[in-house]
Amino acid sequence: MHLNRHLNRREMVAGVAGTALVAAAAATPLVVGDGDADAHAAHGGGEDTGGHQGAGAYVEEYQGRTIRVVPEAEGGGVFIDDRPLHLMKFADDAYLSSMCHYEMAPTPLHAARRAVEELRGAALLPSGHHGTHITVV
Amino acid sequence: MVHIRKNHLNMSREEKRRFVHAVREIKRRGIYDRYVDLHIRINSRDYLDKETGKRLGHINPGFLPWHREYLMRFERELQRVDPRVTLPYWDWTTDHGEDSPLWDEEFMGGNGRPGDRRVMTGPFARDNGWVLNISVIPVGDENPALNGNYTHDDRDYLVRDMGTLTDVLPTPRELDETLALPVYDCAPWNHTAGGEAPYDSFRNHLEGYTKFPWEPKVGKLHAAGHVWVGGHMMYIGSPNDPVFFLNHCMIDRCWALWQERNPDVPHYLPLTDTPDVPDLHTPLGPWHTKTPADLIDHTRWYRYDA
Repeated sequence: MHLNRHLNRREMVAGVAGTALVAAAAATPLVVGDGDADAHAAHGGGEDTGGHQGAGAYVEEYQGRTIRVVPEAEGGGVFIDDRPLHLMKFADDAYLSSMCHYEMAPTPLHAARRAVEELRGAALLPSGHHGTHITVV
Repeated sequence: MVHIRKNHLNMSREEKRRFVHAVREIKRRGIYDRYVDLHIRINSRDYLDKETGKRLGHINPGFLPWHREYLMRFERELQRVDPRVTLPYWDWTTDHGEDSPLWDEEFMGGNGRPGDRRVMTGPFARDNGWVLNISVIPVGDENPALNGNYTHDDRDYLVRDMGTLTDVLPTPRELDETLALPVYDCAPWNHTAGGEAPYDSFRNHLEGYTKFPWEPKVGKLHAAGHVWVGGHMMYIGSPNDPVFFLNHCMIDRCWALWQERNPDVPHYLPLTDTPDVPDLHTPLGPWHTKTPADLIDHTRWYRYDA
């Protein structure tokens, strides 16, 4: 599967531990916004597809939770069951989130999957300001 | 008065009891949660839009002096409850495993239970009255990441998942090689600093965002303490787990050990005004009472037992 190959390569580059490899294999993409959605999502988007809000988003079901990665052009952000995840960008291949704060994730999608693993079924809480909660994706 | 910070392994049962009592007492008074709150606020600001913007306490040279002041203030709160209490440290270069006295029921309590990884034993178990308040209820319209009412999830109990994300804690060699680095920090002063020879960032190797080529993976020393314990220690609200303070006390001790070993180099860098990071004379917020220069010599306030 193209998605897995792509992530594995990035993981090797970023030196991410083996648990994430298992994670990648278990993910099921649900909605695809454009022809290269996997790479698009892995990089957190950045391309305006010109559609309605969310048209360019990458969505997948992971461990029973719905992950949505919204491209920067559409406001950006990573959502788990529609709740925003506080994501912090350090570089194009280095992200921390509130749920995985001491280990860089190579993409926003990785950060989202790690957050799902850490939540263990718990829900992210809504923020006071929808949208502004997200920093840079 | 100068006091002594000890390895928890060298503390008497009574000293440990006093420490736990003081921690629980400042929690009861609402003080502990203010420290969780502060760490989250500084973390959030430090990490917002991190390709630009001023950083204070994380992934930059301010890491060591900022946490030194944070720990001293926390320790002072404990001493208001019991003047004999000092912060213990956890020397994870040798003190490994879930069977360390660190995790005794009378001290930090044990690992989380299978499944939800909720801590069930010891003074910091939900069932024994340790309820997480910060990160649970957002307040007001302001971005909760900035007002200290930062939320991540709806769990009000402490979570630990030891040895799952990484099964190895640091080794004496790992620390030794980092203490041997003669340069405190270098441009670009972030998570990539000192990643290549001559590895000019003691700070980043200690913080654990970079590594030597011969080391298997990033995440050593400071990061390993967080990642090995797992659960809340992995989250932005990591001070919700009191072992946070034992991990950072060890990190603070490492800065002192490094200074002893490298007496003739600047003990903080950068010396002069540098975009986005505190220099030697930048007052560190949110207190703005001390600069890194003021914080370099800890022996004015306390010493380590070894």
